[in-house]
Amino acid sequence: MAANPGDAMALAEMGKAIGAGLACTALLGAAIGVGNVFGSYLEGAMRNPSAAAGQTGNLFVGAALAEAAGLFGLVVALLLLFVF
Amino acid sequence: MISADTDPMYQFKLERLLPFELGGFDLSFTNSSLWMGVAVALVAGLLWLGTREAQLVPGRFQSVVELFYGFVRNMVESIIGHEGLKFFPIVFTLFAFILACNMIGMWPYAFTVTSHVSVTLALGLLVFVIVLTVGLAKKGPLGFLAKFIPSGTPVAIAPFVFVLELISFLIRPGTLAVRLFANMLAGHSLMKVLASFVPLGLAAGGVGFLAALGSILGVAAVTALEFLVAFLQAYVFAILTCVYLSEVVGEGHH
Amino acid sequence: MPDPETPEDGIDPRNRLEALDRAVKAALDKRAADQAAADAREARAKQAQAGGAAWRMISNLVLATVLVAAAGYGLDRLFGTTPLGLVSGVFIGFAAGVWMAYQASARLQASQDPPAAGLAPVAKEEEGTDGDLR
Repeated sequence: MAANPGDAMALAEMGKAIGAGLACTALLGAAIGVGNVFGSYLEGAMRNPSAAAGQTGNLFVGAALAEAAGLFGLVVALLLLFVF
Repeated sequence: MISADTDPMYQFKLERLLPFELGGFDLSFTNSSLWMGVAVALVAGLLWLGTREAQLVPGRFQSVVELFYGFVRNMVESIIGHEGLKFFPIVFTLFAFILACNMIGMWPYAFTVTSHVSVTLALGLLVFVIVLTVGLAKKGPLGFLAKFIPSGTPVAIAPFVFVLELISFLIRPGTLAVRLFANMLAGHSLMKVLASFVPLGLAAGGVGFLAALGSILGVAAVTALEFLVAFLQAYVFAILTCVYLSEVVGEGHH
Repeated sequence: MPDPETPEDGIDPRNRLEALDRAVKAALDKRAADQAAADAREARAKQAQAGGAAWRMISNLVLATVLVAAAGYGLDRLFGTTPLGLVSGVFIGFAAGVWMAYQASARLQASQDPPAAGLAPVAKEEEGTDGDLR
């Protein structure tokens, strides 16, 4: 175990790195979400092409929301690495 | 284990060939400067050879130069339009310089100038300053700022759009620089890493021979890919320069 | 001494029409094949263009997030406002990246749709047929 302050610091550094890596797994969900959004869009566009052009805005809003939720995980990782 | 022969990052090392310092700034003539000079000499030499004895029926060098010239000219004209041809010199210079640097970087033992962010950021900032100057001169400060709000934007979201447009305008030199430098850096280090498997595999013997053979094939494939990337990145840089210029020059293009 | 029954090109007059038909058919086939090859080339070029645009969108998205976050981090270091700049930088940069992707998609659509409609007037009634992200 941490016998002296130097060891404790090294342990804390290690914990930060592991925590940052774990926090980044949040982006997995974002990736699935964004894939879902674009996949469903394409599916819908193939079925009813005439309605596709009007939905571009919604498409990007949906993709952005899905991705932004994952970005919180990235922010936590960055905070762990650069701030704490 | 990691030495000058196998370290993938060794090829990007800067060396001072002629140390020189001025007012606290390190202005040494480095290997980077040397290879930049080689690139400029190469392009200038090719253009000189091609246009020295220009004939109606072009010879070999003249054909190459005319092809090159026509290619860039077409690109500028199709993106910016006819009034954009006055920017042809800068686009051609950027394209030729980056292409020459990338291609020289494919030569063994040569230094890839564009794998350093300082070089590519300087090029990106050059484009940025030109676009900014042209935009301000053409539209005036207020008209230039008004371009950040596309026509037809609802008043409610106009401030957000303005901020987003402003940011995407400000990060342009960064995106230009990072795209070019990251591609060159990643490709060349990948090549070096794959190549360093060959002596390691040969030294290991047995299955190592198979690994060495596989890496040689891999290096050949990556080298071919790198030639494509070297051209493509120069092309993308030139195209984006044209697109950015067309936004401040073109009147009825949007 | 030439036989008056056979003309100079050596083809029986009764077969001439057939020979002409064959030649015309061959020429037409060749033209159609050339046209198909040109169409395929154009389609490939369009696909490559769209692929390039998609690749630029993604790299823009990532680069915008990273660059603005880095700028925010730099501001944090300057003014001691840790972690505000970094956090807001990530989100503002991401928003800017999405906005750039949206604009690029709109541009791509605008650049690819009018010529398609111009070449094939039949396709005009199904305007907007093509997805945005070709």
